[in-house]
Amino acid sequence: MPRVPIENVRPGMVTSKPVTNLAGIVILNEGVELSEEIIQRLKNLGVLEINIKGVKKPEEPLEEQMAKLEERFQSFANEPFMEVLKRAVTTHIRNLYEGF
Amino acid sequence: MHNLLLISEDESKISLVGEILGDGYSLIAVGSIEEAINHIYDSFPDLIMLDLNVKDKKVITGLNTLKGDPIFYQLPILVIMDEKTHSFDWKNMRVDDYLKKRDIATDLKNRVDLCIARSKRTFEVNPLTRLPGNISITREIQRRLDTGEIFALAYLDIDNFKPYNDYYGFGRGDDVIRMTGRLIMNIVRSLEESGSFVGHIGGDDFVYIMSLEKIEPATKEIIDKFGEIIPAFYEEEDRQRGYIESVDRSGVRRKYSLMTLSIGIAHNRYRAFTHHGEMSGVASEMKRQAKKINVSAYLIDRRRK
Amino acid sequence: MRDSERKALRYKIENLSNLPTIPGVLKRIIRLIENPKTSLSDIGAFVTKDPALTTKILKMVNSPLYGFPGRISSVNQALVLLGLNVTKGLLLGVSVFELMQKAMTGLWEHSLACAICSRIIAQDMGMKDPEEVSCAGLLHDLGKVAIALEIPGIYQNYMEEAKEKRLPLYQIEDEHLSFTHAHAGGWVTRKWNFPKSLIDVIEFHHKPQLSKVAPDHSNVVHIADILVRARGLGFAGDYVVPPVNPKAWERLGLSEERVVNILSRMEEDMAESEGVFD
Repeated sequence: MPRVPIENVRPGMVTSKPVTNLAGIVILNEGVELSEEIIQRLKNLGVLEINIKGVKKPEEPLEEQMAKLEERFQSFANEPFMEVLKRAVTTHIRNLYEGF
Repeated sequence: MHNLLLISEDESKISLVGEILGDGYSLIAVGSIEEAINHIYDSFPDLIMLDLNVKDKKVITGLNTLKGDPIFYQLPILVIMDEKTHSFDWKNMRVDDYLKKRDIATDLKNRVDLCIARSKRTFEVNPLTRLPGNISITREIQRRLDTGEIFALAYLDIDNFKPYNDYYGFGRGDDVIRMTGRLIMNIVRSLEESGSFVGHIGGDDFVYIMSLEKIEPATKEIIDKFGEIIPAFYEEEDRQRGYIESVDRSGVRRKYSLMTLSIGIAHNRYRAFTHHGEMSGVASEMKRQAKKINVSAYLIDRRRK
Repeated sequence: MRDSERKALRYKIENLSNLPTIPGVLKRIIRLIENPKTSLSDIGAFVTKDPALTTKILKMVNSPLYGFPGRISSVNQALVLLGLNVTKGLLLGVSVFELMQKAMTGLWEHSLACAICSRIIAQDMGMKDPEEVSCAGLLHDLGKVAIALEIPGIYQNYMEEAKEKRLPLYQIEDEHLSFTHAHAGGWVTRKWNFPKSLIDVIEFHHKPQLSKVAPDHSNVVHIADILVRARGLGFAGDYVVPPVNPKAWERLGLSEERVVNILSRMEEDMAESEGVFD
């Protein structure tokens, strides 16, 4: 659950860990969907970073990831179940890039 | 052959010590507490020599921590002091002897031999668990009663230990005892760092003393963790079945489920005891009642008279 | 490599006393230890993410010094038996080898991902000790560290060869050394009195069909290892996905759908462990 600096937090994001203030007191629970007001309030309270649910968008471009995937499956592509496995991983990786 | 560990950064001291000791001693020199700890746990030296000039002040705390563990009660520590150093806080340094640098040539060998010999003289500690035995236990109970302290005393034993021992052999039985001793000690210590006491009467009988507030949480934790760990001491099939089949004292074949704990607790909040025997008696009585319950259980005396 | 060299190498591997970890982990551990409020469970949560620390704890609790060798495979149980002070002391003694940094970070990430994936699969299968399987997943490539410690330059060459020939590292190891990192891992953990089930998985994670003591665990870690490599997390020393053992795949009841599901859960859990490697 990546830590995101408060400037980059957008409405709709969901907290993955409780948010604490500088004194360590919990001011917001995990699993809360952040609205514009809540984000502003957190900024006012001096919160610097928030843990956000969900995986970060991968840094590498999708085509590069796919190319590497092809390469590593080359050697044993014809062995039992390797085709199925490759399809599953392809689906999974595409899912990672979706919604960003 | 004695295995010695020297903690020092001073090359000249290191070579001098090596020279003086000669054959019959295997000397390893390290410069930091971290390296020392690695060695200690790997090869369990007979003696540690500490050069008090070592810059890292964590060395003393490191060694004190080490000596706090019963396994290392008897590991002797000999400090080597320079001429300038004069007075020490011996109470807070768990060392056994000292030697001045100028006396290394004349006295090192004797001091080392004496320290090792002294450490080997057994003082009443259970050889299996290194926990204090009966004499220390009764002395501890009596001391607290004499000073008027309010405390709780727990007696613990392992149900179905004997059949386990018969079935799997003494080696495995000893392993269980060692594990139990460690478990009790760590849990008691972690909940009550100072003022608590853990003893091993013998066989599968243990004793622990804590404040009345902490004794029940500690007991529950001990029961929980024991239950988690004990299956690892059985073979797969027995573990799956949940019992071992063995012959009892009358020669009858019986099933014995996995070992559990029975714990009896006495305390002097509401009743006064003058003699340790009275208090132990109550704790044992509670334990006997707890034994009638098939699973791990503890009973605490709540009577007012 | 000559036979005498192989024997010497095996001897050195068997007599390793420590495994190195990476600087990021070491920094964190020191902070944890210096904080007087740190509890055993705080330490446990951290240790279970790092193979070197896990190994150290398990090695200690299973050593004859404590008197019950070969019994404990759970880090959390080990910590209760060792106690807070001993644990802190032990972790203070973890050392770092600068040479290994880059290779190690990749391997550590791979190992952690494998641990997480193993746990997920074990939980799905309803196995009664997913923590143990997870631990096996964390430590399965221990042998690579052992070999790399002893022959770093040569091992680097083997990795280059694996890359060129597009073969799994274990094949190159086998050709040159007549043993693989799986064997090496088995030697080390046997020497350190690890529980038999852990040793078994480490030894047979590439050939689970040969596993006798804990075949189910071996199947899980075998598959987890392959899934993690297929997904490309971390770096295990080579650039290919080795062939899946068909029996293992079938015994775990895998399908395209299940694999996608497992991978997405693993991805989430990995993101949560992020920052261990900073």
